[in-house]
Amino acid sequence: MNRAIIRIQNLKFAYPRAREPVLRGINLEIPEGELVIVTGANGSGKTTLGKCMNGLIPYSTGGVFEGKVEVCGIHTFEKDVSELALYVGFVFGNPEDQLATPRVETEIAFGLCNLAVPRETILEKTEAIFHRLGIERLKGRSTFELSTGEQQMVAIASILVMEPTILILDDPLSHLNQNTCQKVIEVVRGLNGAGTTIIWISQNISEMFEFADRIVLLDNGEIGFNGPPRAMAEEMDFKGLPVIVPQHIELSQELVKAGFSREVIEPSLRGSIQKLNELTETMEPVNLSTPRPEARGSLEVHPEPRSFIPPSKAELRAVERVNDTGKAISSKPDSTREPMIQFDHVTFSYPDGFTALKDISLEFHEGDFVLVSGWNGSGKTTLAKHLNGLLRPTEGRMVIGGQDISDRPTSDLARGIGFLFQNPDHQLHRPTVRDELAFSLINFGVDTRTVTEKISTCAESFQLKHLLDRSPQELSGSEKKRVTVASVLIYDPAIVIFDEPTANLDQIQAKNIIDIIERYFDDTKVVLCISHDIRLWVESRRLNRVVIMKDGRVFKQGDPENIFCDPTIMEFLYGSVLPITQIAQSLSGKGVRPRHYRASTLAEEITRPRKRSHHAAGQ
Amino acid sequence: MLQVNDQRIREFLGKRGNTWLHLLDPRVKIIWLGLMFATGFMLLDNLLALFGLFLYIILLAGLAGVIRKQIAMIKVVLPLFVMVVLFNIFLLPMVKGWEQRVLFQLPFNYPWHTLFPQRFSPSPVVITRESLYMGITRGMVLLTFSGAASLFILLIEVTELIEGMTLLKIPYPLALTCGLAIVYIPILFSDLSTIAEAQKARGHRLDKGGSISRLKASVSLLLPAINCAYVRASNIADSMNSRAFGAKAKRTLLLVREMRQADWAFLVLNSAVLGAGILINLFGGMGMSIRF
Repeated sequence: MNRAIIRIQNLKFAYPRAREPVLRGINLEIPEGELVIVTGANGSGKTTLGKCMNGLIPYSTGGVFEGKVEVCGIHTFEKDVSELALYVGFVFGNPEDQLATPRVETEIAFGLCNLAVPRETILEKTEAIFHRLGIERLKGRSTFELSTGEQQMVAIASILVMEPTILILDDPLSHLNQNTCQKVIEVVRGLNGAGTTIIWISQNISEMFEFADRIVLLDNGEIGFNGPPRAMAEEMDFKGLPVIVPQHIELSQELVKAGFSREVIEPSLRGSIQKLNELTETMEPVNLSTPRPEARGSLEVHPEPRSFIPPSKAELRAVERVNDTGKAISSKPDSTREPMIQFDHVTFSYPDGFTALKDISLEFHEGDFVLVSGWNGSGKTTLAKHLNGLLRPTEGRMVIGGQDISDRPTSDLARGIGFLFQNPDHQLHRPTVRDELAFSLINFGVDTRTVTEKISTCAESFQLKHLLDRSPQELSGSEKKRVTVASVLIYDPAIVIFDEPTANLDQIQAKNIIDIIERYFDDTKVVLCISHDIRLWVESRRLNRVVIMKDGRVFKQGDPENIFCDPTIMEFLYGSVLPITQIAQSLSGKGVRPRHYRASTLAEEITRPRKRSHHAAGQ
Repeated sequence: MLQVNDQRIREFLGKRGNTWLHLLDPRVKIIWLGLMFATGFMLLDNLLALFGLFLYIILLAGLAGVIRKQIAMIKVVLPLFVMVVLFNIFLLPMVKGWEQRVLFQLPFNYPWHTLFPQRFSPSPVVITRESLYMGITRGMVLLTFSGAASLFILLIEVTELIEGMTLLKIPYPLALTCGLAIVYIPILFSDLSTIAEAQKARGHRLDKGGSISRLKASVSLLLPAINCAYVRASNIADSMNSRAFGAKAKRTLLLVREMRQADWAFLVLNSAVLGAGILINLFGGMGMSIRF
């Protein structure tokens, strides 16, 4: 084992005026040259721990700091942040908030200029980093005009150029598209291969799972797990974790629960596919129309092999579209009725001439639960803002409930159309949570008694009762999100648009919000969720339509299975089909239906009673 | 205010032309602004000379091909222009000990007597030759200064501004702060615009009621915008500190610029304009020079 390059001893930290400490006695040693994922729920202390490593805490924040943090043999208390920057590079999560100069070249060279490195060396190094990251096209451009993904690449370049011994990246992929993500992962792995210690802070451990040497899981300011990925996959139940986990590990864990050997757990997707194929080598094709066993994971062996007959779409839909109590709900919205929302050849151009929507024709009916996805800048939010008149079509028309809404003000349309904005801080401006909940109702002229009653009911069902008299600005990110969702749903609009409802939430919080949205939805409503990452929605049982946007046009649309399992779409969005679909496809010769996108359903199918080899039998 | 489209501001601040005025050394552009303001101060009381200076600035904007944008920016200060003119026209006649020739007497009194009867005796509102002249002149000063400032903004990129200030030996932190302040104007407006949209989407009517309630509604939206700006500023500070900002007393200057002949010529021309302003100030010259 290499010598420890980061030593943390009994680290405790509380932000100024905080009620509770964020870090509660962290002891951690990270050997030189390791790639470490630091993960955990929102508020678990991931970023705080990272900032302690580069000295930003306590220097820039103040607060109560106890214990010792040593990087490259230097106690962080002994050096200033700017001096520690020679050893520790820190890439922040939001690129827009870390660009200090207006031109790409000066931004990348910023750190080296601060260190008074000779001009010629700076020019050489910046040139090399442009080439290394493949961002030569950004030369000469203003940082101001770049897309968020491009800004993030510049931010990463501005740290890499300083060649730090330790590189900390705080959620570096959240604003990047898949191609750029792959590039960043490649570069980071290259740096790690060359000896740089990498601290990868993220809620999505699947990004680096197979490449990491170690995973540190923070649980409410304490270390909940510290060890290699394989050990984590074997020891911890990923289902209950507040982080995004690799789908293939989820599947492996389901299979182990159903009696498969632990051998099935492989950190890499490729290894997982290989192992599953080995373990199911003698598995025979099975007829899916056979009745399901009562207990999942039963290992009883059928005497006769059965042929594989794919189920009809209607059968699948009936399985997927069930409500909370497991009761089937209507399989499809009634499209013969008049649409509730109609985009009639809508084109929209911004004042600077950029055409964000190009001849969009879409119809949504009562009972449509729609996910709108696509890359940044594909026109998702612009599309949604047409629904309540925040934007008006340059060409074409918007029809809601059979009426052209071109001359209806947004404040009038708001009564029937709720809109949840992405950033809660843009929405919350009242002194208390109670006022925030009352805000829309008062705007719509609801009487005081009803307002009070509704607030009480709403606070109960959204678990906000204890927060009613608090200022929204004091709340945590997930609490703020819950308040904003509640403040929209409180007036029961028939159409609701959620713009990135799960943004900046951990996995458990995201599931809670999706659950709230699903509970609100019924066959009389239209729910539109905008999300750049459709993978968060694969578990949704209410979703019945997915629209993928590309360059201001509808690229593809269809039911979730058709979209989630479509290789063209998934390759466009993520560079490859979902891991679960890849595994299902690799097992298709053994009677497994190739169109799977949920770990749970694939595990269920693999463990369905069939003839299997002894390799697969439980230990 | 909240209707301002941040796309427009981005357009103003983002795109630059390629005329010889745009290509001037950033130091020259910064010095030019200083020269124009200094000349303006020399001509504070001289309407004709101020008008000449204003025309000169407009001529430069024409040569840079940004005259429409400049006029659009000057329009923003028009309400202030009207206030300055009216304030001077109606209040200067009250200055005691200054001999003024009355041009018009209006059929009503100043309100001071009604408000403070012990202190003021009733007197009719008058417009004097001197107050009319000074009102228009002070308005012209405002237009000239805003014309120069808007042309400067249209000619210089933020990067150039920071570079120019640094080359003029202004401390880098100060130069960077000025640059960042400009860079984040559109982002602040973008935040304000999104916040206003978020409230409209919840049925809030920002155009409802009288001007006071509309102003109150708008001001309430400033709080979340300020909060967002504060968070952003502290994140940028962290990001800069993490990249060794302030580690060395003297940082490397990435761009090296040489002054060209055109830069020197432009500097000489504008120094001459200031020289003329000083002479006019000293010797009266054109127009009506009034001293308090």
